[in-house]
Amino acid sequence: MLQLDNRLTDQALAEIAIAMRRPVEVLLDRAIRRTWRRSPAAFGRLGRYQGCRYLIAPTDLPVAFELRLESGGGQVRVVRRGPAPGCVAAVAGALADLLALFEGSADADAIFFSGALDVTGDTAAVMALHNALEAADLRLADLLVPAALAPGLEPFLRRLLDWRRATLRPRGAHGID
Amino acid sequence: MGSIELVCPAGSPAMLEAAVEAGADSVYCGLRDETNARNFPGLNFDAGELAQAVTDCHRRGAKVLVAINTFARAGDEARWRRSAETALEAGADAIIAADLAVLAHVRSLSPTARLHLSVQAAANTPEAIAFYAETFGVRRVVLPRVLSAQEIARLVGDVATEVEAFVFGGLCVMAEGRCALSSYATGQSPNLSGVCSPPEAVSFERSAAGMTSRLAGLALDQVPTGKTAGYPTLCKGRFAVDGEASYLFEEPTSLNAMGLLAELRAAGVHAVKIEGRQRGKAYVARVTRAFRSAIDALDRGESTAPYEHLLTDLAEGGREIAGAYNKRWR
Repeated sequence: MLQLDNRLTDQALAEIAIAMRRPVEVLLDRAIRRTWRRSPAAFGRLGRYQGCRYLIAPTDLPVAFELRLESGGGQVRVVRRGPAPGCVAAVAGALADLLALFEGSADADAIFFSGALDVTGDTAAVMALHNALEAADLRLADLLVPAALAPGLEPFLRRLLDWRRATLRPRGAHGID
Repeated sequence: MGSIELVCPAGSPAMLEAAVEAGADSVYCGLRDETNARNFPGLNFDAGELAQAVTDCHRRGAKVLVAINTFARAGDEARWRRSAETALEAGADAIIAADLAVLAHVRSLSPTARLHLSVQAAANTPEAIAFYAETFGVRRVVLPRVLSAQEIARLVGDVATEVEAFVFGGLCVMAEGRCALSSYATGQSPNLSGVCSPPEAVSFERSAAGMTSRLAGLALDQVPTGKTAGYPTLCKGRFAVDGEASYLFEEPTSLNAMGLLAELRAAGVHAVKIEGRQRGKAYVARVTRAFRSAIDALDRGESTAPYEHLLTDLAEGGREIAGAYNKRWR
């Protein structure tokens, strides 16, 4: 019964998020355009994957994001979770890990080795996206708040992300031989 | 006793910046094509980025070593010639090569260009190293990751070149430059195409049993959900032999020889190398900072122990080993 309730709650939250998605999409579209203006060469690193759609699926959010990067900017769309047949690849993981990967403060391979990241679809496309994002030198605030507030909020967001990631994966959990 | 040179990976300008900022003495990088052994999508430098990187590094007192370390394909040598010319024009401090043709071409272009022998040459005897030194004027040899610390010490005493040894990152237990596992499965290899397990051929499947990694359709391993995984390469695959599944060639672990830095330095090793141009700026910043601290501690006569366990979460499979350096078998 509890499981059914949780599913209903997730579904309701997803519908609310979808209904209110537009401001988030506008914010993220602007962030992508700003990033392109700042580092157009980074987008070139996508090579043949420019214009392809990627599904970014935070496992702790009721919705997912479809991301498309191309010359001039790109687009982010908030979508319902689930299969994304039009996407070249999908990456799923905790939101904090995905944000850290986007801004390059976390090592993608280490998160993948730990089993906390799911990659499906075209692996080369995911690798190209990772390398393009690394080159773009995104800041956390670029992704989460309007440009005018970004400089002031960056330190706070950084502490929040570090705290969240520490709770996800305590250090010293691995052995050495 | 002089300090050890810390050589760090730079798969992109962003990684290069992170490595130098964290204290690398030298960075190594490659051009955006199959002339280097990390030819992955979105990685590496174009000619303009390389020239800029050299200028920036020299301003900050760091060196740039350019890897042209795949083997030129018959009939397509022009690509390797062009890469050598681009690296020299950019002002690279050294070219890292394995192929006799590439070494010869660089020497013909410049009698003074510094040449380092890539690990891809798998040169591990005084005779082989002397051949490269006498024929092409190679000044440094990067040793294969299959020698013990004692073997390295003996070798250093028998060769006239500088010696560079890997101390962190991916392990390769094969005769490097001659491994055909990736070619067998995909038709592409690190030796000729610059890719071990080309990402186009790699796939991951999620099921109730866990995650299955495949290379060109061949199942490599299956790990339960949430458990640590390794790189999707055939050498890290788990195979059933006589009804028992095991990692036949190599466990999914990473090399961390920080605890052997003092021994390597005492043996006369000139430079230590961090593997991982395909990783990213977060990886290179953390690993470089840790090894910089350890080398500086050694130079002050202190122990490296406080830094030896800082990097375990970056290791493949979440596990680190000292590789062949401590091996007691032959």
